[in-house]
Amino acid sequence: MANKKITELTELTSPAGADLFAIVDDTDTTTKKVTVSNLMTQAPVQAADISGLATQVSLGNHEALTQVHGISAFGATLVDDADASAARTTLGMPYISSGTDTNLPSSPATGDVYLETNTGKLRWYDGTYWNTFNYDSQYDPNYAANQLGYSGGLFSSTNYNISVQPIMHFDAAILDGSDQANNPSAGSAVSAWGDRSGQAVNYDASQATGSAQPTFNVSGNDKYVSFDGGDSLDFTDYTLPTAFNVVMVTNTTADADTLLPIGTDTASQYIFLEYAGKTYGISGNVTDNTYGPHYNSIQQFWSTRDGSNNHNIYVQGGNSIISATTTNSRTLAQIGKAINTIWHKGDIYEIIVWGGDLSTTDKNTVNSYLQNKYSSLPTLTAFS
Amino acid sequence: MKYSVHSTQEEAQAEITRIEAYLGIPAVGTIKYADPEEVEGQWRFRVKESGPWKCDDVAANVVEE
Repeated sequence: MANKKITELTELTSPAGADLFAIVDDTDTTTKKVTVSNLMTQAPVQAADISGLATQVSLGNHEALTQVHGISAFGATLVDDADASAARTTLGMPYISSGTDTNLPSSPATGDVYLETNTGKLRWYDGTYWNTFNYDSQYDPNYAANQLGYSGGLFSSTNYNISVQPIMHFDAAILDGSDQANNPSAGSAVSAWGDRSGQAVNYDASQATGSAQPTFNVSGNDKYVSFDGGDSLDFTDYTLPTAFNVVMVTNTTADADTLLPIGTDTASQYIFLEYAGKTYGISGNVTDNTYGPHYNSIQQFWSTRDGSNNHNIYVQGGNSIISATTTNSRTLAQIGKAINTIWHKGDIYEIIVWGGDLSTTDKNTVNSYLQNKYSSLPTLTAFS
Repeated sequence: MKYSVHSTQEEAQAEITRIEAYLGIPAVGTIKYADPEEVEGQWRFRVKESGPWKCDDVAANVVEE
């Protein structure tokens, strides 16, 4: 179309779809961009004459619809947002919606996504079924609900919340300390066991020497790290304060002599040890020879000291088998051994260390968490 | 517990190097198989009897203690 000055809309002929208009405002001589909105807002025409202009002026259906409905062309495909469902189909985009779990869309298309606002589950439609999408398992509410929750940790609102964040938390079910989805396959060598406590100081335990690496294993829902009597994982030294609590879920394999889930790097120092049938606390002078050992059987132990230096070893919950007063200092350094002479032989499921004495309520919450998690754990006695 | 036992540190280290090649070490998170240790005038290193680093069936001079 040749350049032509027009002053009335009625002078507009029917242009081809691709034709361009240069609109010049006689009052300021500014050349305006050719769009319907420019015509409506900036061209020197009377407002009364421009209603319905989009359909009267054949600028081309695409451009007119773009202006009317307010969305743009995607590549070579122009979509009309007035029909969003059809537009998504045209563009191959999934339909995303949300609502309660009882109101899933009745006629979904393959790839549609639905957020259940009452469960937190993300669902996607595979053409036949609505599937639950659990890419990050930490956000699976069913999984998270059964975790030990504490402020600053991986989980902070669960069925088992305690008030004190541990100093370190080694959980074989979340081997890297971040996400169970990262767990290796059963039988893999373990070069690192991540601390999942979320504390600023990271106590990830590691072992770079292959012949000293334990093995990751799975039995039913239980995950554990197996130590063969020559394996260990080292972490940054942590000197226990006067008051501390340590809980351990572990076992020894048949005929093994020692059960030592977590140890120091100084000779004759430990916070808990089963050796040759006897159970030791911090002090080797006070032992119990009535409880252990329980070969090939998952056990739970607490080694605790309160602010008054009262030290206790508990088994299967709140059953105290050793009670003593001791001011001995202990520095934790490794999982699976103490110095180079006492080694753990067996499986370690979980170790949690606190730099203080937990309340009775918190101790019982931890016990409930462990009892729920490990189905074969003996019934745990409540602390009182 | 099984050990590969050798007369000298060099022999023990050479055997460790051979086993590392066999097992594919170094690998992610694992920089070496073992360090030789001197015990009663001999040099030895521990050999795994199970797991991905099992090598008691291929190591030389294996002794069970």
